[in-house]
Amino acid sequence: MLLVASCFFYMFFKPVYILILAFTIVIDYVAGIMLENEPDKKKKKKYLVFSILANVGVLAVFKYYNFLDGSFTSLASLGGLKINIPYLSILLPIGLSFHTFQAMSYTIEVYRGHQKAERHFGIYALYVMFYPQLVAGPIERPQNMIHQFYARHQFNYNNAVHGLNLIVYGLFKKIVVADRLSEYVNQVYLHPANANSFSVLLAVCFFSIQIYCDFSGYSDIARGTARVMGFDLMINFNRPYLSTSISEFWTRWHISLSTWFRDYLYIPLGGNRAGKWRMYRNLLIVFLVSGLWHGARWTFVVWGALHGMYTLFGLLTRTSWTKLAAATGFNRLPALQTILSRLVVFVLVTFAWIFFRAESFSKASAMIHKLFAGDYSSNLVQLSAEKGPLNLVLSFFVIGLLLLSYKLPYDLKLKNSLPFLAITTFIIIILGKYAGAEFIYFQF
Amino acid sequence: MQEPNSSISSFKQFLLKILLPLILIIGAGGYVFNYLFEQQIVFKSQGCGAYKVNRILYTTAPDEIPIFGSSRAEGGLLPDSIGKNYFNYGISATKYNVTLFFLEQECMKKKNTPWILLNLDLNGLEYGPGDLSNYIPNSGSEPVRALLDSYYMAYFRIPFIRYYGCFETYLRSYMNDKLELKKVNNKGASIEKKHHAQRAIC
Repeated sequence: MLLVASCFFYMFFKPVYILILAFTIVIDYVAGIMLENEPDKKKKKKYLVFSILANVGVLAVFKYYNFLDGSFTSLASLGGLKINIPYLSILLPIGLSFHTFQAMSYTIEVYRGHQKAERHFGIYALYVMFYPQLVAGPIERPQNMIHQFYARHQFNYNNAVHGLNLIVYGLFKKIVVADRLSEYVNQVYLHPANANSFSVLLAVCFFSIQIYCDFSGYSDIARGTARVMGFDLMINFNRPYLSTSISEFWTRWHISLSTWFRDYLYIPLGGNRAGKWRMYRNLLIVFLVSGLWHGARWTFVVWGALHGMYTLFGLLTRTSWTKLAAATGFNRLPALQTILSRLVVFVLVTFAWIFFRAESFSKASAMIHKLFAGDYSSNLVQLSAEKGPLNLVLSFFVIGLLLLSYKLPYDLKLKNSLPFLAITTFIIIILGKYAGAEFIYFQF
Repeated sequence: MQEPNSSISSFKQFLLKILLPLILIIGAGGYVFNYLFEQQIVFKSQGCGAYKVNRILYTTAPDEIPIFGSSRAEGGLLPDSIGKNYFNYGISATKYNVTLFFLEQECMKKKNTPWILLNLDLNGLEYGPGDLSNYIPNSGSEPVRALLDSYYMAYFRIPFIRYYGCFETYLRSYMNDKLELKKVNNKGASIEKKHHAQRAIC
């Protein structure tokens, strides 16, 4: 039943793309069984490599072909060569990067012996296709999910209420906060030339909050939907802008992806066991690949590289900062230290988001140029990004509501959910944006 | 593992403790909010399209000379600069069928004056209702339903919910009316301040 629902859900977007999903499901299902049955380590490795290549191959064709084609053509033209490789005019299958990574985690775990190969094809297919998290995660692990599909789930009051809390809160984040801020952000990113420094500053800060609410809102809805049915999905966001360092930020932001990269890329590369410089190199590789995972554009690679550099800088200067804080007596003011650290992390992350949001380097450079141009004129049309003062006031108001929601217990396990549900539903109906944009992470 | 009975009792508990009270709270609270919002915001701003539709349907001023048309009428004809008894019913982005609707409603009224000012141009010779938020508060009226035709949605009859996504539109209209930041408002007309100043000089 769940599998049929998941197929229907996926085919709602573009029915034919179910074949791509079916291809990876069949490959990884067979690979899993072969990996388990094979005693020879070398052959086992071959099966794993074959399965990974099949998954990465699908990604390469559907997501990175045009990017590689464009980059190669540009590189050749720099060397005076004129190459004309045809572009593929295909639509990116929705959530491709998410379910491909989830499928890969299965074969890797079977290879490592942490997970038994799944013999029931339907259960394995459901592991890849489970509809709440199919298109934008969380990217689950087989150890957490497969056993849940065998369990019999019945209606449970606590699960239903907790699930509903998560769904409603996720909708609040998406429809009320993210879609509201997107009005301002989209306008400024569309015409940076019309904006002044202040409106660009507001737009980049708003985007930081927009993308958090957009993506974590989806994760909350996914977790809530699964929870109502009695399934547990992993927590994907843990109030990331409260981080006091970039390393901490990555333990709170898109947790399912960062742990995926840690377990399946960083540690296999040697992690921090092979000396300091190898560790730095590994970290940089992980962040670059993470950037590329997000999208087939060089701006995403720069975004990843920036985070890599922030992390390295943080690691390299950690002792110096501690010494400086001790020497100046700053360490005796822990509250101020925390506030300042959070502010620095927010500024750094926000700056990197410029490359994530801009469609091209020229757009990103136009935004950065405007940001530092020092044009702080008090033109109301510029300040409100041509969207009117009411939109600006409401943008700040919904950010205030978001901050207020941080007073709620973590993970929304409330003693009495009714007031929360009633108030949040009211807010959604009154302040929600109608026909808002789709989720940003659907494109990945 | 739960027993089926406990699953049913769990569902009953969810229904009685959460779902029904939630529907009741939103229903009752929404109804009150809907009433206050309509009375204090929507029908308190003369520049709002919904106010104009409400006015043409339910208000009869025997000496009033109405001005009908789209944004060109709304932003081009200032009632007080024409005469004493004018009211501007111009609504942005409306087409000929909406003007016709206003004309029909006007012609049904008993008036002391035969005058109607009509602002028509080529852009208005298309068909369509324009912004649906102009009609939602009056969607219970038969002529409005006939005007909306296929654009009419069943949820327009549900108080509070029907305004989902539109609250801001009415609030903006209300604030424009009261604050006059960029525009001057006069009996339904809404004219840019700079244009208003130019006309005053003329």
